[in-house]
Amino acid sequence: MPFGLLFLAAAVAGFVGALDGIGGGLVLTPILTAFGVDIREAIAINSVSVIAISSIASPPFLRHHLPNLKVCAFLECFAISGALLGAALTGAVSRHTLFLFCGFVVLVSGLALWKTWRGEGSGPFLKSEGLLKGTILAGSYYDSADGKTVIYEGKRPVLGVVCIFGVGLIAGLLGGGGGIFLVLVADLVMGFPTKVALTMSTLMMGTIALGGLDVYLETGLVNTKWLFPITLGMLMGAFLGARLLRDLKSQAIRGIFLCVLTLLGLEMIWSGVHVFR
Amino acid sequence: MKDVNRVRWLSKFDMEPLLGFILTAGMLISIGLMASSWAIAQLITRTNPGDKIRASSIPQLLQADLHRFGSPDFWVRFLADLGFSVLLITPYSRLVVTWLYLGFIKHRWRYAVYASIILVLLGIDLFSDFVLVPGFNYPALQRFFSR
Repeated sequence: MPFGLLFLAAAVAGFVGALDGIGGGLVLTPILTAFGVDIREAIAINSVSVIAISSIASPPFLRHHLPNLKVCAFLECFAISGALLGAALTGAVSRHTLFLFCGFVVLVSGLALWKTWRGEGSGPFLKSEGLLKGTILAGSYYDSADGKTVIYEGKRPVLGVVCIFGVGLIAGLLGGGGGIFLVLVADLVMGFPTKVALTMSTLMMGTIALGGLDVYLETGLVNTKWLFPITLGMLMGAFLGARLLRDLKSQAIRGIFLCVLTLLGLEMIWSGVHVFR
Repeated sequence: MKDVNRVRWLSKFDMEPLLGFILTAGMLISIGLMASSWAIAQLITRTNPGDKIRASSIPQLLQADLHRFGSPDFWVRFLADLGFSVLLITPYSRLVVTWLYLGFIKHRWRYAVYASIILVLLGIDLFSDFVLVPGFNYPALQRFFSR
C-alpha cells in the first residue's frame, strides 16, 4: 500500500477520531482491507492507532481541563479489567455475532442519544452508594465555544461501572479502544456533558487499547511497516480534530457524533454479515 | 517558610498541562524513532522497513532485537521497535504521573487506589511475560489466528 495513501487515510481517521472521541477504526480498517491488508492485521494496526490518537488528541483537551482525571481513573480501572479479560477470550467468542450485536447496540444507542439530547430521556439523579460511596463524579470546565463555565455531576455510578466493564470486554474482544461505547456510556448512562464524555473517551481509549494489544503482539499481527505513515498521519489529523472540537459548539459536536455513530453501526453490521461470517 | 512555600506550590500545581506534555513528548519521540528507522531503511541499508512484531512484553521485544546486533538491518528493526515501545509506554507514563498526583499531591487515596489497580494490571501486561488470564488464552488464540 503506498505511503502517501496510508498517510492520508490515517490523517482522516485521526481527524474523525479526535473530533468524536472514537478511535480511527471507522476510516482506517476499511481502507486497509480494501488495499488487501488482512482483516486481522488491520484490526491490530487499528489497536495501535487508537493508542496514537489518544496520545496526540488528549493534550489540547488536558490543557483546557476538559477530561475529569478522577473520573477517568475510576472508570479506567473497570474498563481495563474488562479489556484484559476480553483479550484473553478472543477466539472463544464468534466475531460474527459480536459485530452484529455491537452494530445494533450502536444504532439503538444513537436513537436513545438523539432523544436524550432533545430533552426527552434524561434519567433520575442518583448519589454513589455502597462500595462506591464517596466516589465523586462531579467536575467543571470552561466551555470556550459558549463562553461559560459548566458545572456537572455524573449519575448512575453502579450501572456506569457495569457498562464500562462491558465496554472494556468488547474492546478486548474486537480490538481497539471501544471509544464509541465509552462516549455512549459516559453520555447516555452517566450523564456527563458531551464535551466531557468525548474528551474522557479520547483519554481512556488509549489505555484500554493497550490492555487488549497483548493478543496481537503475541500472535505477530502488528507490522512495523505500517506504523510510521499511520502515526505520522494520525499526528496531523488528530491535532486538527482536537483543536476543532475545543472550539465547536456542543450542538454541532452532537450532530457530527450522531452521523459518525450511524455510520459506525452500519459498518459493524456489514462487518458482521460479510467479513466475519 | 520553606514548607509554607512548598504547600503553596503544591496547592497551585496544575497537573493537566504536565500530562499533556508527557503525551506529546512521548508521541514525538516515538515518531522520531520510527522516522529514523524508515529513513535508514530507505536511504542507507535499502532493506524492508517493516517486520511483524512478535513478543509477549516490551523487554522481550527489545531483548530479541539486541540479540541481533551486528546484522545488516539491526538499526532499522531496533529503532522501529524502540519507537513502538515508546508509543506503548507513553499512556502508561501518563497513568504513573496521575497516580503520583492523586496520591501524593491531592491525597485522594480512593482514586489513587483505582489508578494503582490499572498500573499493576497494565504493568504485568506490558512488562512481564506472565499471562493474566490463563486457560482460555493461547490455544483459542492459535485456532482463531491460524484460520
